[in-house]
Formats: sequence, structure tokens, C-alpha cells
Amino acid sequence: MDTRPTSSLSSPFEDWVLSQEVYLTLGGTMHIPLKQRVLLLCSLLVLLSGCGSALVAASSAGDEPTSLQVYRVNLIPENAYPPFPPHTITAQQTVQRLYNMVQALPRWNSASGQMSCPVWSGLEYQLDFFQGQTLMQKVIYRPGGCSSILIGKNDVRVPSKLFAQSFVQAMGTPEKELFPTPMFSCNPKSPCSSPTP
Amino acid sequence: MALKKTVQLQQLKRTYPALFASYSTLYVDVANWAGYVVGDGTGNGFEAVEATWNAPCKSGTVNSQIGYSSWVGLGGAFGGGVFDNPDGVEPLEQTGILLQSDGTYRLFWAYVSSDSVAQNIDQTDVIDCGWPITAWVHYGTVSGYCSNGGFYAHVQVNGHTGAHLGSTCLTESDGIGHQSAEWIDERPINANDGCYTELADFNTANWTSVLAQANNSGAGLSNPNNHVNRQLFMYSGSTELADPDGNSVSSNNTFTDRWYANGTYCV
Repeated sequence: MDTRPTSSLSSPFEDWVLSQEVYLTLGGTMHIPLKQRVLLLCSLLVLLSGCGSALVAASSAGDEPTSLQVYRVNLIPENAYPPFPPHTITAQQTVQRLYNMVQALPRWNSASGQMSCPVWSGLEYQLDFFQGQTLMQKVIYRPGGCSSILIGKNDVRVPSKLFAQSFVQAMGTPEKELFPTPMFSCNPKSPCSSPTP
Repeated sequence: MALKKTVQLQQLKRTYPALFASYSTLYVDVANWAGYVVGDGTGNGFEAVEATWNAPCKSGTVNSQIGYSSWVGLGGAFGGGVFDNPDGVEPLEQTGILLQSDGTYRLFWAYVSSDSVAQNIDQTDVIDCGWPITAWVHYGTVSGYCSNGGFYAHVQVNGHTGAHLGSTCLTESDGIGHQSAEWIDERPINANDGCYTELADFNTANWTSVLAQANNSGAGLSNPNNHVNRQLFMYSGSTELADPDGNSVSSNNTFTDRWYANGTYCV
């Protein structure tokens, strides 16, 4: 069973606002989404009422993960790697540091068009942050190509070198095992025998 | 006389081993590149890469989720879990052509590091399919550009005066990578969401004058087989998208990359 929370950490009202695709017109030329205007207004009201600090404190106190499970995912099955059993990290300080780093990473630049990237082997890491037995957040870390971190389905972040180093440190695994060269690749020029039926 | 020539040849081989060495091609599957990479991730790397190829004529659809580019570059291959270098992905400097949805191309160069991207796409010149492209990335002392010793990327359309694009100079202090040299057909990413595109049907890309120059005193431009070299197969999941014909770059410095499938967006 998937224990992931099905909604974001926002309130039902914020969820509703975020789901609206209504645009308001300002001055006839500039369009600002309703959701942005409402959230802006809410933020202003919260700050003016002096409740801002209390909300932040409540949020940060309740949202800290206590453990992390890391899986390696090979998206090109034709590449063979040494086995990599799932890793569980329970050192809370380490887990929370990684979690906080992920939240603070800058978002992918939302430029239009296409761009080239360094080579990517098709390896990625799935980081499951748990609070107790509850899955708080699932993060996909792609170290190769144009490095990226995917939070949920649409939130793409750019990992820093510091994050990469912290990840290696937290795993306690030699870098060569975390970023391995395939033992061999199966392809038309170096075919691998197919399993017998 | 014959003995003297033999001795001279042996001396040349000792002085310039890369000119005479020939390596077996390794075959590697990756997610976003097809073509060739030279280098072993150690030593002085490379100071020049160049090639000429015709802009392939595409079939089928191209849009923000279906893309293609072809280019030459230095760096960008070691690290990230492909070739044995765990110190992170080496920065990539590249130049070539980027397919547009109408089947035409734009010239581009880019510098891509692990935490920044500088890309310049020439929007003024429309490059039609079939046009001959020449591109190179050189260390300044090779080409005469970048007198301060920087790397310089240049792409041009042969026979079309004015259709060319040159990069700014980048130095090693910028983090420029040069442990590898490569000739690549690529499925790029959609910059809007960071997802790898499907590979547009480029049919074939015919590469000629495929040459690299080691970063060693006295080394000249030479065939990729004179270096540790890898043939790259592009895969999306278990589906092969593209690969080079033949087992290695030919002795006359040519190879052909062939498209097989689009693959899956974001995988």
C-alpha cells in the first residue's frame, strides 16, 4: 500500500485556489493568476495579524523526517551493475539535513525550448523521507546528464555540488559504488544471451 | 636506408604514441547520446574536436516533447555514473545544430556545468536539412582564437557565408571539461520541465572529418580509433533509439548514426 500523503501541506482553501485556472486582468494588459493574487493577499493578512511566525514554527516543528530509505533505479535494463541493496538512514540529523537541503534547492529554470546535457547513464536514486512510519516525501535524484531532483511530479530542482557531497556522505558508500560504471552493456554490437524460456 | 627509416619510425612511435596506437571500441548504453566518445578520464585530455556532417532531414513530428540535436564537444562524459569518474559530471562545451519543429535547424553553442547552463542559439540563420555543417571546439592556441588560452566553440554552414556562430572564450578556471571529446546525436531535454524528450526521427546523420586532438605537446588531429573510444547506444528503457552503423569509426574518419525509435518522454 502506498502510504504517501495524497495532498500537499497546504490547506483545503489553498488547494482549491491552486486548482483554479481563473485569470484576472490588471490594467488591460497584465494577467496575474487568481491563485497568485489570493495567496499574496493571504500572506499579507497573515503577516499583518502577527500569525506568520507561529505558522512557520508549527510547520517546521511537525515536518521533520526521522528516517530515509534510498533505492537505486536503473532505467536502462540493458546496463548491468553490481547489486545495490536499499539503504536505510536513521541518523535523524543527517536525514533532516538532506531533507532541508532538498527543500532549499533552486527550481529548474523554466525557460522555454530545448537544451543539450552531459551524458546520462539512466541511473537515478529514489529518496523516501519518512516521519515515523509515514512517507513524507518521495524525491528522485538524477546525478547524471543535466542533474536534477524531482519532488513529486512537477517540482524539478537543481542539485548543488554540496547536495551531491552530502548525499555521498550520508550514504556512507564509496563514490565509485554510488556512481558506477556498468559492468557490461547489452546492445546489438555486444548482445547478451536472452534467458531461456 | 631501410634501417634508418625503421629507427626513425620507432622514435616517432615513442614520442607520439597516440598517433600510432589503435584501440578496440567499447560499446556502452546511455540515455541521451548516440555516437562516439574518446578519452579514458585521465591524463591531459583533449584540446580539439571537430567534424563535418549534413543536417539530417527529419521525418514525423517535432515539438517541445520530441527533439534532436547533433554536435561536437569536449567534456561532459566523465562522471554521473557512465564512465569511471565519481567526482561529478565534467562540464561540457559543445556546438552544433538544434532541430526546430518545422524541420529546420538553428546553430547553437552551450556550456553546461553541474550547476549552470549558458546556451546561445542563433535565431537569425535558418538552417535547412541537408546543409553541410562544420563544427569544432578548440583550445585557443590551436585555432588562433582566444589568445588568452581559452576554449572556443565554432559552428558554420559550409557554402553559406554568414551562417556561423562562435562562443565566448572559456578557460579551465571556468571549470571547462576536456577529459573527453565526442561526436553526438542527442535527445535534448525540455527546458521547461527538465525531462528528456523523445528522439525525433532524424533518419541518419552522416559524420565526416571526425577528428580529435589530444592535449599533449606535438599531438595532431587524429582518428578516434587512436584513442580510447566508446560507441554509444541511446536507450529509453529497453528501447534502442539510435546508434552508429559499423563497429567503429572508419579509417577515413567517418561514421553514420541511425535512428530506430522515439522512445518515451521523460524516461
